[in-house]
Amino acid sequence: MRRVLWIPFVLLGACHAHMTAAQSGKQQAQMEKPPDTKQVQSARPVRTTPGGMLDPQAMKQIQAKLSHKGYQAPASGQLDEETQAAIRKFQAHEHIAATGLPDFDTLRRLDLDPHKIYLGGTKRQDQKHNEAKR
Amino acid sequence: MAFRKRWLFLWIPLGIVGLILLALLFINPIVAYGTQTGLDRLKGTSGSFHGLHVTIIHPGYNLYGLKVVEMPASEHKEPIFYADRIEMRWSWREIFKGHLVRRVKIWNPKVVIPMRPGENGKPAQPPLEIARTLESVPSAGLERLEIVGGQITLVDEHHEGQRVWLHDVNATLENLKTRKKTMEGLPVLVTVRGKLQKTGELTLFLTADPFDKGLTFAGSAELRHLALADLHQFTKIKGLELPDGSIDMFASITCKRGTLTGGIKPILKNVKVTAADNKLGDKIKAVLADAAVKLFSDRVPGRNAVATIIPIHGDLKKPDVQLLPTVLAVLRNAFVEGLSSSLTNVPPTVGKGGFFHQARKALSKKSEKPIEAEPNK
Repeated sequence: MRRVLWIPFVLLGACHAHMTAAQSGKQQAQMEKPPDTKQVQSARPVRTTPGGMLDPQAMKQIQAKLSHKGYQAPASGQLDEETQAAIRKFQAHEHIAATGLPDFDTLRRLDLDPHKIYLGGTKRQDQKHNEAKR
Repeated sequence: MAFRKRWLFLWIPLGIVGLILLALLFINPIVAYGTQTGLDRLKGTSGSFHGLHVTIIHPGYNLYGLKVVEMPASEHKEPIFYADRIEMRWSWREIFKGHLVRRVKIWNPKVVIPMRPGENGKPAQPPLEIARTLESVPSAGLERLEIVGGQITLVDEHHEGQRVWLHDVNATLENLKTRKKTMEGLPVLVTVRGKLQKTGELTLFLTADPFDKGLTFAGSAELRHLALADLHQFTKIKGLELPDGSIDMFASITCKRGTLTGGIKPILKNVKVTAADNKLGDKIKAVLADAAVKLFSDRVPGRNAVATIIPIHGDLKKPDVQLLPTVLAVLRNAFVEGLSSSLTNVPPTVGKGGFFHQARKALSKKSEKPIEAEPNK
């Protein structure tokens, strides 16, 4: 009896440690990002972060192209650290500025059209849809 | 008559070929002369270069070993600008369409900006001549500007040895066109990655609409893992040193028609404050400051982080305000404010007013004073 008595305590401790770690991970992710700011409206849309200019679908397309070219990028739909590292490797291989951020020239070299990918681009599906609505 | 006509048909093409050959032979010295004359016109500086090469079939211009020295030569005697190679490219297709857009690539540029004490006790500023020279470089009609392996050093001439060094800079600026239509709905895009001092990793993302009625842009900058030991030249104040710990800074700004808002979040991690000398007073100060860091930390296991958000507000409605110098100046001001604010509020004896004053200030519910965004202030 005495031998099994410690098991619930160990399980409880493990649970608490797991929850604390998860909570601190979330807290850290929340903390380590630029402060939220109000978006501004403009004819050529401007946003504070790459995530604002590229929706998850567009990011997935970039990640798929990177993976296709042999640069490992997770299909997360986010510009996470792994994706930035993959973009940087690709840019270095192409002898262009290795910023790790998907600029227009990088997209063209990945056989993607920035006008279809970036927010505001004239060839985006949602743009055409909005124009048709108008 | 027929004989004359035959000779004319022969001479005209021969003349054209001769002119092209002459142009090819003399174009390099002519353009080199034009470039040197342009450099000589820059006020307060003296410029030179090792070589130049012009291509016609793929229209382009390559300048090698460009060096610009401040005149009269300053004490540090380093050129204020040096680049291994500058390449400019045009496309015939765009030229025939009437769009004179360029692609510029700069290899290993080194920029030294001497910061001189401002008038009436204002913070150090770069010399006005350099700022004016930079502003005079035409930036419109750029398809892409690319910088590979750049370095920027800010030298405070007032305090010997105080240098801010941004290196391994890779940067791009795209889509800065002269006509609305050619932008095809996309904004101007600026991306930067570099290393600050020995350890800090800096990334910058910026989008701007140059055709809006006022200055309109949005962007963010992140500085990660900057060891406080890298800032020892700035933090060794009043007998304290910060041997351990790092600082992260996250800034985001938006500007709509000259009205700027945003915030900067400096996060100090695992800070330890020690006495620079063996004096008892310094040791007591260090113990108190170290205790304060622990008191205000977020107590996440394995990390003692201290964070605060400092709002940024400003007005950039002057008619002659330029996009890029202004944005960079705003970011520089924000980062300097973020750094000094975090160091002033957290290890109390570094700032004004001593331990109890700073502790009271840090615990007060009053919001932080917004940063002055105007670059000239």
